[in-house]
Amino acid sequence: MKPDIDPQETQEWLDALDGVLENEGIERAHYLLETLIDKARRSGAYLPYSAKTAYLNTIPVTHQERFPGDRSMERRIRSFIRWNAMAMVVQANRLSTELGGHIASFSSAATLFDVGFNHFFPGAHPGPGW
Amino acid sequence: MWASIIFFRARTPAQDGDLVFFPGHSAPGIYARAYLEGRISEEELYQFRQEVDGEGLSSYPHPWLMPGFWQFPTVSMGLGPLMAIYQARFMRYVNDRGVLKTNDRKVWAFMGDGEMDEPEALGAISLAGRERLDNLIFVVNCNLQRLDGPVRGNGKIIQELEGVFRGAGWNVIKVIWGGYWDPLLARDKDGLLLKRMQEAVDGEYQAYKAKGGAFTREHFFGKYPELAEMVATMTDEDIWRLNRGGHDPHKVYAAYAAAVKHTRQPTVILAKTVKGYGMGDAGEGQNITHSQKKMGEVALRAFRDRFNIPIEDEHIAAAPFYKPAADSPELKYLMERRKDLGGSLPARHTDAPRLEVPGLDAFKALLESSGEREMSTTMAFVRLLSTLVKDKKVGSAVVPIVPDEARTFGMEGMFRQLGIYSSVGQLYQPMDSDQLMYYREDQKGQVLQEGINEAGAMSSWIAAATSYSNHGISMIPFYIYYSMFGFQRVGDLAWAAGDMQARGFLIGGTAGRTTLAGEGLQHQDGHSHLQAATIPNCVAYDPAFSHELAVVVQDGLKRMFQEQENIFYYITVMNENYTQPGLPDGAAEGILKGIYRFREGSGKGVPIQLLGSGTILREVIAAADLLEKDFKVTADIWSVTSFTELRRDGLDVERWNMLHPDQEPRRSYVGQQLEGKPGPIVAATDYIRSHPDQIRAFVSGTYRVLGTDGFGRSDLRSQLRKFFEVNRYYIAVAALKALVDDGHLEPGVVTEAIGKYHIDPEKPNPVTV
Repeated sequence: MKPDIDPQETQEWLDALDGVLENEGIERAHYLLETLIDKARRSGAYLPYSAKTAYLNTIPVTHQERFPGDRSMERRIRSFIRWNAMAMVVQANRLSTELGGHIASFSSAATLFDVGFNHFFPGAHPGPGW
Repeated sequence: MWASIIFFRARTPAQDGDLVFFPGHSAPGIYARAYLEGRISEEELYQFRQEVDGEGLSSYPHPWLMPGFWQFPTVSMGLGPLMAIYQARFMRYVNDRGVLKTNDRKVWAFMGDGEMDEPEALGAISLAGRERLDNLIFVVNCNLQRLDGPVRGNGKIIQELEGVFRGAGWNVIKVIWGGYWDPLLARDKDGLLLKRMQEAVDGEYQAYKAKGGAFTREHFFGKYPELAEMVATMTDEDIWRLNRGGHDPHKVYAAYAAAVKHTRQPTVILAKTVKGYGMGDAGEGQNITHSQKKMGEVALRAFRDRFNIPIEDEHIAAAPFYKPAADSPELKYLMERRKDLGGSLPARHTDAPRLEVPGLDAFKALLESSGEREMSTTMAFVRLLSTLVKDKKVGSAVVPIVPDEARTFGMEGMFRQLGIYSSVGQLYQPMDSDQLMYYREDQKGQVLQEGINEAGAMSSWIAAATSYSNHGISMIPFYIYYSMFGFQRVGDLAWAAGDMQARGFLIGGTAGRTTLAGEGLQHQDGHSHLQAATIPNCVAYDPAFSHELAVVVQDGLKRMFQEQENIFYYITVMNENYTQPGLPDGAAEGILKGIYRFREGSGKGVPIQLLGSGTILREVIAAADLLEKDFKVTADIWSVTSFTELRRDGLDVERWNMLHPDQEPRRSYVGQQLEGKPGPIVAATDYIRSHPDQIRAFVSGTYRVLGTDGFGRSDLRSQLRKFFEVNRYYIAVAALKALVDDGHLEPGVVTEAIGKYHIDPEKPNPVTV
């Protein structure tokens, strides 16, 4: 996109959008924006479509659902898991490098699994004898 | 011990756990958690990747090797995402049909950003969007690296994937920045930080983590004086600690919480992480890190210090495993969390009730002679399937799956009869609605019509074929397709199906290189049986007649769903019409073992044994008639329903005999059948010669094979069989030559036959043209 040639006009539009967001909500704002884009396209404007959003978290801090866990406790547990995952690969490869294995993939994903294991993945209900 | 989990844990009928596809390369992490939970012992951890003696831990998730633990093989790459989509869709299907309530369960599929370059990983995402699979959550671990280097050094993988998934109708949640960035972003009033974030490419982001805080200050923030100013009061350590979203449990939790609540769309979470997180100089963010499997003492010490592992200096070099006491706060917390969530994951179950399958008499019509009426084995199969779906006990468990070829196989009647599954029913009046067999879509439809999409259809089949373990209820899937586009096209999935102990039928339609006449080189299958033979638990048959087909399918139903054997079936059916002779008395056992005598020679001529499979058996029968009439040669005719099963039996016997030299030798089934039968043996099939060659070691005397080696091409069946030299005349000539070589006939007889049958001896070898 080209640089802003009329910041004052831009600000007026942004203020108007803020007003709608504040008073009428996101859905209404979305409706107005889509209508404006549709109007521009029907008037012959070429508006390239972008499926990408800013390189930011999709969920703004203000909308984050609160983490219910004990963060430092979970970190300690995760650290043990990290250590043992690494150690089992190291142990196998001390026996022989023929055996191979990977440390780095899990290292990068440990938190992604842990949050699921601690808070999200329902297991099969335990039956008698568990 | 994982192997005993099934034993100690009876599943309640209310079992409703989520299904989680764990990425293969992270398997050690899943074992490490199971170790803390007490599901895996320390001895087993020491046996990671050492499985031959005892109960080692498999390299990657392999249900075959750890049948009480792993559910989904996610290696090789791309199969996990693809199978996860069709698993979620299958759960919708059984739910909509009222077979099983699954709408409170989710499928989670974890995968890597490098893996997303596999066409299989992204190839089915539009189906998930179209079907609004809000029971499906993808988590892409975007650590920016693959084995050799950056995934998108010059761009941004997260942005690229966001566009692709949003375009396919998914809810996309990006988790890029951890909480330590929040204060900086809050101060970014003029958007300069965001601009810098958008400018930097993944190759740079990787380097920031590999090279530390000072480097990041200089190269990331330092590009603009305002940003340098923003972090001026932060130490290099503070800057290095600015975390990625995928390492921040608060951000990850928020994303998962939003994902599980989201409706009407599948969700993909794109989480930015650091490959080799915590490995320090031994691998963090470094290009070599994927294959790094060694840590020296210094690296171990650094790792321990970073994660506060209570291991003393003097022990650190040994890299011992660490597990806190069972009553430690950590283990209590861990166990409590899983207890609240209903038990441990992953866990694979095999306690589905047995099905009571119909007996052979249910398929009586196919066991009788068709008289004058001509019918292909494909038609016989459709009749069989029609009978089966009407069975009161198992009919509703049948899942017919087609990749847009139902009409080719004459299955269009099932559109009306069973309905084609559609999650929205049918929103239009089909153009053929005034016809008897109109195109009927229904939310309770039984047929899965997957479109021109073999990989997707195969994934649907796998979901249905493993329903007994993942859902506690057996389904009976029949996936029917052009045989050429089976193992050759989706062989990796077929191998995974074996690993998962799938139970079901793969039906290779329009089979046989010369039987599918017009379609030509890419379509004519002369080798799928050899590919099927490579999968140890795939049982394959090439039946010639409807009675053979019925006997094989009924036995398959019994073995897989009543006796619950971990096998699956590959059966080829053909579209050539001919009269069906009916089941000879006592032939059923041989049909199942792989060979039976179809017709005993009644003449008094020179004896010979002729073997044939599939449609080519009919050429063998015609050759026997020619030989009797023209050369006074009397042939016994054998129908070989499975060279592969005969070979497996033969190899097993040979092995046993080798290891038990002092005991009475066992005999292979094919050896027993052909023993003492006079004359040489000649076999012909519609497959390449390696297929009938499978039994060479187990038959004595002269054994000659004919087959369809070479590239196919379009023409009439009669022309193709002449071209590939598998017609009755070539079979007769091969038989005569074998008799001459064995000294039973004078040499001139072969030349005579070549002349009599107008065979051009200078015709090029079909493999060369």
